[in-house]
Amino acid sequence: MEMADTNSMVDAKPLFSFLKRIFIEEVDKDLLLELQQITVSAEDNDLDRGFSLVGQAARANGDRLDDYVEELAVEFSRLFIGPKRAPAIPFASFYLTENRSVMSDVTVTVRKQYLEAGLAVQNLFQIPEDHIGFELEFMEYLLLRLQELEVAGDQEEIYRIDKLKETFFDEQLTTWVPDFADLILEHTNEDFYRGAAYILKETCQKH
Amino acid sequence: MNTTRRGFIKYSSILAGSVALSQSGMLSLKKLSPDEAKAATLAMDKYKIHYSACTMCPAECGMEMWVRNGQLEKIYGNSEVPMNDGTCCAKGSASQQLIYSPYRIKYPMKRVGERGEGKFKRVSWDEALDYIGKKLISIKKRHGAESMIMDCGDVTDRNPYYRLTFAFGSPNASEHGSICDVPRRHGPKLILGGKRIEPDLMTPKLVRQSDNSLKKEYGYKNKLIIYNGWNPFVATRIYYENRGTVGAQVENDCKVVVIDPALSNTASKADVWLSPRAGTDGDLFGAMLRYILDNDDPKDKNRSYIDWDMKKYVKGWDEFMDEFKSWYGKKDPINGLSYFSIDWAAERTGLEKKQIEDLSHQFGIIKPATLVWGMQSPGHHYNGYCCSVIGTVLNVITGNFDVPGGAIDCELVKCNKGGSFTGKQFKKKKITREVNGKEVEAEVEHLHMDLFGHKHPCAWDESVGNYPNAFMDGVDISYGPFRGYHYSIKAFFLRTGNAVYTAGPSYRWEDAIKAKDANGDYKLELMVVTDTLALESSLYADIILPEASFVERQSLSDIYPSHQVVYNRDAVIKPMYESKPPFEIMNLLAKKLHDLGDPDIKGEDFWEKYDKEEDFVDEMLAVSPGRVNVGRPLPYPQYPEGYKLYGTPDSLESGKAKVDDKNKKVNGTPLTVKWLREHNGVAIWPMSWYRYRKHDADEPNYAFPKTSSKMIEFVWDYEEDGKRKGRYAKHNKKIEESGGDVPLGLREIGFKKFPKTFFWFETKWNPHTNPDYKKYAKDYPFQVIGGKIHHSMSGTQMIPWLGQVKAEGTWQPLNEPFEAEVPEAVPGEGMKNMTMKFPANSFSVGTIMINDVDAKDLGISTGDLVELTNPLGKSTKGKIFATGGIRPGVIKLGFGAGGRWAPGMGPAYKSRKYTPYHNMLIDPDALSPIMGFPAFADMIVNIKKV
Amino acid sequence: MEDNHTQERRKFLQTAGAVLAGTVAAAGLAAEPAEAAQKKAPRWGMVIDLRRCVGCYSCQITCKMENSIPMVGFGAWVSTMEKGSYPKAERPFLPLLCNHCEGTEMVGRMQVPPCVKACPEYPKAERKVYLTPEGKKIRYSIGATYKRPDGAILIDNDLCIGCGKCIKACPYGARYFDPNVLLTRKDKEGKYGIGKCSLCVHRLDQGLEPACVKSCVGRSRIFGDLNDPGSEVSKLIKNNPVKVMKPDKKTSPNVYYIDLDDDLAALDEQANPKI
Ligand code: SF4
Ligand code: SF4
Ligand code: SF4
Repeated sequence: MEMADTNSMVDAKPLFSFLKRIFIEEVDKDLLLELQQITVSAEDNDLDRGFSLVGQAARANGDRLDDYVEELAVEFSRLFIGPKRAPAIPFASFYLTENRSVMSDVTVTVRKQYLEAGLAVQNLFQIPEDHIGFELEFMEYLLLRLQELEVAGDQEEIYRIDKLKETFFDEQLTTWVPDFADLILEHTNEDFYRGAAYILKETCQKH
Repeated sequence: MNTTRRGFIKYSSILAGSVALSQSGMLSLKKLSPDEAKAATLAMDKYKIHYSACTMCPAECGMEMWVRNGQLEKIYGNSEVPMNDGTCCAKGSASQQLIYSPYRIKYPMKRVGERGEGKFKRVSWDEALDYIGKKLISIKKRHGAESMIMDCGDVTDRNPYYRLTFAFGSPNASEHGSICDVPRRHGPKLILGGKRIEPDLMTPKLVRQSDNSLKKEYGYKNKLIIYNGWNPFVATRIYYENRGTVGAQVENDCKVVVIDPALSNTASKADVWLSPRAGTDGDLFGAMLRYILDNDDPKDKNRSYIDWDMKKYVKGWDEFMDEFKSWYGKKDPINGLSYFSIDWAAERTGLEKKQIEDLSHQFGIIKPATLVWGMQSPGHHYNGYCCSVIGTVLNVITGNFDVPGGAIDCELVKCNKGGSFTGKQFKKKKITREVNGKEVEAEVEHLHMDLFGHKHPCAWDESVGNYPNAFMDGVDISYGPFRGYHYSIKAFFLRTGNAVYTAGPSYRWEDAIKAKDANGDYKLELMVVTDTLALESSLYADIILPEASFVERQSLSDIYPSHQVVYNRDAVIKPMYESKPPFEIMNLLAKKLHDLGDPDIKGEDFWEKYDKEEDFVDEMLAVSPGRVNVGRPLPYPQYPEGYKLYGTPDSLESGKAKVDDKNKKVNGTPLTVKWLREHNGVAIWPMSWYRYRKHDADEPNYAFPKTSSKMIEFVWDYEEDGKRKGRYAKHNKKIEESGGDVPLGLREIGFKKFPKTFFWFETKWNPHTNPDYKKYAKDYPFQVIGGKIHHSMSGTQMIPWLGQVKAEGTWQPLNEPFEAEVPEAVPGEGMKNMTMKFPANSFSVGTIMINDVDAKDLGISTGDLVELTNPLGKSTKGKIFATGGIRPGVIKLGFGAGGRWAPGMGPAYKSRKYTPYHNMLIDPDALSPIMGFPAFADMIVNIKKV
Repeated sequence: MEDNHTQERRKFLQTAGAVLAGTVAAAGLAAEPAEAAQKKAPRWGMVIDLRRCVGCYSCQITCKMENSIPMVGFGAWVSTMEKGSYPKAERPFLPLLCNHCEGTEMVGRMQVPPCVKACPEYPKAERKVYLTPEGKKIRYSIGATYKRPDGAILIDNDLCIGCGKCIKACPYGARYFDPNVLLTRKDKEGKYGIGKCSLCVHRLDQGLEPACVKSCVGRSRIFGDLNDPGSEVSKLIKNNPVKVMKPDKKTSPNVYYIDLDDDLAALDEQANPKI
């Protein structure tokens, strides 16, 4: 484990903040206004492709943002919630257990990992911990923590949290999130969520 | 650094400047204090055991649930609950796959497309309640509170919704019972004030011994059980009948006869299987009664069928028998034979004369015996009422009623619960309505759409099958003080039911729900669905509310026992996602209505009164067990006979309960949730038999059963001591007071009033018994019967484990290949979500059970796709399962097992194109004449290969 | 009034009650010393009284719930068939599980069933200790597939190489590859571990009956100690004609059937995939 890696991940914190915001709840107007600012010059990889789509989508609907927010909310429900069978179930267990349950050992493992960092979900036991949004927020938190610790210079804790982050990233995010992202891509024509899916996929790729 | 890494940094720095993002903070996780973190770590990996009650089916077995890390991991039967005595069925064991199903309704949803389109967006609870509240208040202002219907598909835990509905000012609330088996329950209700006659099979029973101690008794006394159209092994409801039936056979040499056109699993274990034509149960019972009356000879041991001593406990014996016998002289137009003769019954049922004689003789002579009739039939026939009346009479006159090993009406002996929590008192509120230009003041309850409506004014179980008509045409009040009043139905609140799919043909429901007025607005202004899973009906809702599953909410179960038992349904895990228990939904909606200015809803009746779920359950338990101290052995010899008992078993047992002579009550310490939790979740009071007799003399105790005379009543409208008595009396009074306005239902069968005693009329769509349908016999040669398949009901069919189970000929592995996402292990990569192919014939789907010789004649065999078409031109498709186990000329379909168009049904949805939808075939206008119940089992079809 | 069946059941459950009251630790599955003194290890066996089987499939699913069995595998399963023609049709049921065969072949001094015999990773040098209810210690060899002194035929996927020989050797189709269990040995031949009915030994060791017995809706599955002549299983075997599955295979099963339908038994319907 070279420092370079850790650092580059720490730098990626805003990326996780962004993704978590997109996948925990529906977007609002303020966020869209900011995303309009993003422009991509050359599309070399999925990250470029994703941000390009997101930025374009936000701009293209610039004169009808209220309606667009509403449309995106409907699409969010259709993709991730239901009540028709949601095509992209946002829980890790669904991908990692044989019978596609949403509460499984995976959920408990994740809960333990949150606990190791002194965290718990706000409504314990109500929404399974392995929801995409929570997992992304956890990454965001760990990266933030690492930043703080580096300032404080607590090497032992840096090592522990970094290890936790690595394990979580390798054993959770990279194992199922790309599949989840693929399902989004397969099932939506909405550029905004297609873009978000590309970004998500690339961010959670094994490296 | 690879390109991705560079990308990370690039975009991260762009995003870092975002205000919207940096201000979002922690949205879902929270930091724990060191103490909290320690406590949480300690509690991990430990099992905690809870006692609760299942609702995967209406048997509501007692459960023992093991929870670890907030997750429900193990499910067993609770050994202290005699309903299931520690056992647990396939479906109960599979509940995790429902509770943790990815298809649950997780958040409140608001419709954005058209009704039925299935387009929704997530909204907050407050937004959803606000929408509902505003609509309800506006509807109430314009049309009156009565224009809202609350349909609780589930019986269980419905009380909060009833309370809210009644407080809001509508008398129109219904539950599953209204759509289950109404005609079947009619006889016991008229004659005993009860509901369901079942064999005395529950074990263990808590029985008072001669030394005054209480002992759990096992073992069986039954010698003969006849199940007619009742299939307890697959259409589960009275759960102890599973182990009890085979137990009585093995341990007590009890004979079991099953009467069913199809070889049900119950029939497969029977000593005798009789398979009559569909819809002829009443004919068979009528012939049994006539045979027993004609051949009874008290002096001949071999023909001493009737227990003449029973006459002492019966009112109207002679009137009933006279009316019954008056039919002997009439000739049946369909065959020219004398009614209820053996020849007549053989002609109509298709059974051999000898079989009918043997059955009648055996039932007369073997004691103790029980005659049971079921949901499938007569529960689902237009004329099932007649059958259930005769069946009840047969059990009574043969001396089998409430004897050890005999026939128990479990409704009469179950524990009372509910009390004032049910909110019945709100229906007594006085309101005014303008009727034909006059102001009329009367109680809310007189606006009940059925009880005072022009169609079925004795429908004490609501006519849910009539709801679509009410959405279209509104309600005409023909009886009572509001006679002449008309109102529309504008709001439909459906709670954990799937009325669109199950309560009649879906097309009738869809049409009504989607109907628009001249302005292009929906006539039904508001439809709300509250459920745990997204079934068909939710696709039509304006608002969907997520209800907590049965392991996430608190309530009670009292089921259908042989004596009083009540147990706790504990909330064993936290409600998942944003789902909420009924109690909380009630309080939140009540508060919302109040805040929006509804003058009828008050804090003191809701949120101020009930702080926790436990508060209202305690209120429900305050009236438990609420049954009289009667029978042999007397349950509590220390208290006066005939007094009503209240309180915990131990407080009553102690002898220290207060005797209130004025009100004939014995008051022990009220039962509470806390008491239940401390006693394995269950309270049990002692069993007794002969509960209609004095414990020390052979005469009526006038305390049991629950009729107006507290005797067994074979007459239902009579006068005594200047008082009008009998179950039909008050309904006939309504008709008389209206000046003889005959209700629509009765008009259909040529009655002017509800009958005083024995009555008979023919069923519909049966060419073998009703001359009106003879003309269809040739072109539609198959009778259709339906049956519940325990493993694949409307709300549980998406459970994968249950697709690996076969049930009779109606749930069979005849799937076409389909793909589903199933995670599988990939070498070196761990578990991966992969699309798994389910090969053909590896997963059970709804099928059509048909006689193998019939199939051969039609040139079809198992697995072939056929189309069933009825004389109304409606059709459905499915694959056949050919077997020797069904009467020729009859086919059987599972209820709720096919044609599922809700995508949330998973595999069942994938197989919708080749699985039959039973309700598509039934006649939407055949609502049975007395209570307006759909004639689910009266239809004929032809079969074509596709 | 109480029949033996229920008495037996309640005796069995009494031991269970002691362990189960309140909160139990998942890990605490050590054998509880039972009250009834017994000289030697029990020999667990099952009688399936088909007169009482209602064909409900609860055993099949309870087993999945209890033991986290994958979709493709079965520890317990139920076979059925449509027999005869109208009006003489029949529908017999046949609940199945691993027979926890006594076996007739020897490996060392141990009498073992074909699956254990076939396992190349049996016996290993390592020995374990079995504690009888009266506290006596019995040492026994383990392996990837092995027999415990109480007769339970068990697997240890840490030792398994995934060769599948035990699956092929079992004449009853009681074993399957579990796609959710990845083998850990470096020298493995296949990737997946073996799954099968474990007789719920984790429950037995707490004084509880196997889950399929606990749930059995018709009370058709009866469990107990074949070494104890007073047990209900012993009495049922003594007082009724009983049969075992495929007696010709000389596996000496510990699962007995009352009222077995020979046609259905001959169908040999196996739920686990053949390999
Ligand atoms: S019979 Fe019904 S209530 Fe009992 S365990 Fe099964 S599903 Fe639950
Ligand atoms: S049934 Fe098969 S797996 Fe079980 S002990 Fe016998 S041979 Fe071995
Ligand atoms: S649980 Fe019992 S009754 Fe049900 S199928 Fe299995 S053995 Fe038969």
